[in-house]
Amino acid sequence: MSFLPEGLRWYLAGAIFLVGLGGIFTNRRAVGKVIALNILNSALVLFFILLGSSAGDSAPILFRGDEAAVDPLVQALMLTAIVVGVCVTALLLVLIQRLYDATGTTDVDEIERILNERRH
Amino acid sequence: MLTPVLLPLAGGTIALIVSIVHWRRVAWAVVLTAIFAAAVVMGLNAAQASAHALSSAPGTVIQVAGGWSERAGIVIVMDTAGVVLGPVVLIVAFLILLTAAGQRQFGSVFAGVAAITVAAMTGVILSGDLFNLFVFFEALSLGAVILIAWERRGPALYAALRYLVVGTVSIAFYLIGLLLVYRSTGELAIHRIIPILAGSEVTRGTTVGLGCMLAAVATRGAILPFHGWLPAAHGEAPAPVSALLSGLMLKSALVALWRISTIVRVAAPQLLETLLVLGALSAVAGAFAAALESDAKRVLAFSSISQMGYLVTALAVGAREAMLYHAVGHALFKSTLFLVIGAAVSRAGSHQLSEIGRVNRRDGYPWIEGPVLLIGALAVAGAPGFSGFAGKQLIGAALYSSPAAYLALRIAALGTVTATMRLLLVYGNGRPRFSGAPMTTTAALAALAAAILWHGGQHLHLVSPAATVEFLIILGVAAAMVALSRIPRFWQFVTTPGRIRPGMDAVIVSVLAGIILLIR
Repeated sequence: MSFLPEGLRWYLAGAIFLVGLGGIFTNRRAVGKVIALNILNSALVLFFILLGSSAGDSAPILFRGDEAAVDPLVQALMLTAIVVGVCVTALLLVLIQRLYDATGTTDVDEIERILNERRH
Repeated sequence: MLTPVLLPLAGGTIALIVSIVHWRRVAWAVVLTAIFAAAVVMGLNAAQASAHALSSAPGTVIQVAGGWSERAGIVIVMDTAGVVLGPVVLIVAFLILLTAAGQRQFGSVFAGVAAITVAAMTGVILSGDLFNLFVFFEALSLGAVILIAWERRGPALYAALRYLVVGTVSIAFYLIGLLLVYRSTGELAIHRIIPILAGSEVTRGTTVGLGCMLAAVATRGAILPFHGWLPAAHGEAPAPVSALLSGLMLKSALVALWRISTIVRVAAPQLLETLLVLGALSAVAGAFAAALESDAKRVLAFSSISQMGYLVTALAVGAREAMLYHAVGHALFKSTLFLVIGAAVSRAGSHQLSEIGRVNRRDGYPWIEGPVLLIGALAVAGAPGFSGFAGKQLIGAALYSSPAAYLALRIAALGTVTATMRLLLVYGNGRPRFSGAPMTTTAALAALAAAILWHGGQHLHLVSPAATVEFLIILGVAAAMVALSRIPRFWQFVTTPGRIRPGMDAVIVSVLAGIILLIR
């Protein structure tokens, strides 16, 4: 990534974030929403990694002593965030499968319509 | 100090392992023991911390988990909010799960997931570290989603899905806020961020970051523009789960909101004014939505939004004591009401108030539910001498500088009383029955009712003739409104539900978060 200017990297990560956000709102299929959520999460991870690399960009292991290392804290945070994201994705997919079993569709509008009909 | 988190976590894990061989009783025994032990440890910690609080001014005990340095480790904090709400949350969770243990449909897996959820709630309450808050919040919502969807009915599954999507989007904004705050301070521990931000010029980026975090946690606390997920989630979940979510999970969000507000107070106090307005709006809108609702559990869910509004207005003006008192009150009476109404809903097989009333008349109801519901209803309605009354008086007294918010809360009381009265009427023609209810349920409900009465007794000195007269007037107006509601045509016109677009709440979450914060 070092061939990209600093500012541009942030804008690219921001664009990915917006793609994810837009996907969550506009996608009617539940699975599409899950994928969009994952894109959103990836953008967040990118943000944090970019923040960490502003301190330096060599790995904080096997030091010679003269390089500027990345901020290891944000990397630790993002490892946790990625794990959490995987759990959320798994649970979302299970819920969608169950909803499909109950209603026969993964289209959110359709699900809502079917459930409303059953209520009344 | 981490023991109250680890105990339920261990209990939950054991219950999940035991579930392989279907030892339902063993799983429940382990989970209940673990949560009870956690409550005891938490109580001891709280007693120790409050003794410590007397000797040093800030009244906060801070520890780093695992013996790391403060810069690298995770900060565990026991401040006044934790001292008060920590033990209460664990004890009420114990009582709620005690009622669940008596019901066959909640097996060992349920026990395990519930214990993990309780551990996550405790974790949120003990976190003094912004990132750790995120981790526990996510653990909490994962557990909560499984519990909401437990009965695998379509509406419950959909409510759980919606809750998880909204929660994840809001937490994405929380992480953006965390990023901005970390960029300007280089710290994640709340008690280390405060002096840094207090001692320097606060940049626009930090303000936006703090705003994002407040908005994200407000979503967890169901404050007005971010409340869309709550009625479905709390309304469709099984009874003990609704009680856990409404009574306790909202309280852990409140503690997180309180911790973040301590940063906001020094760095960007104008955000707290926004929070005050939103809180007052939630209080009014929630109360009247509850008064208009015909789904019994959603009445309580909307009432929770209203009560969270009360709590957040108190939080916004910094009235910590009033907020904590009312938070404990709400944890007690809302859990109780959800347990009673939830049991009635599952007996009737319908969420409609009219249908529940019919079934109560036909089959009768367990006798304990009558007095317990009455006590809970009087508490939520704010009858003089009960905890809701004292909480509202204390919060009202703290709002001397913002008469508009004060007025809003006064008006909200009318909605709450109307909603409560409609719930009570469901039991009006029923007849109590003296057999059939499990011993554990009866005992847990009696304990909760006793706790509500005791808690109300803490502030009996606030009862005054003027307040009593005011309550009676509100009661009269509410009775008139309920009488009006019996004219069906009018009511149908008022309550016809508008079709809510899917994902609409998530749109509102992010757009409003963005707009409010960028204008600021």
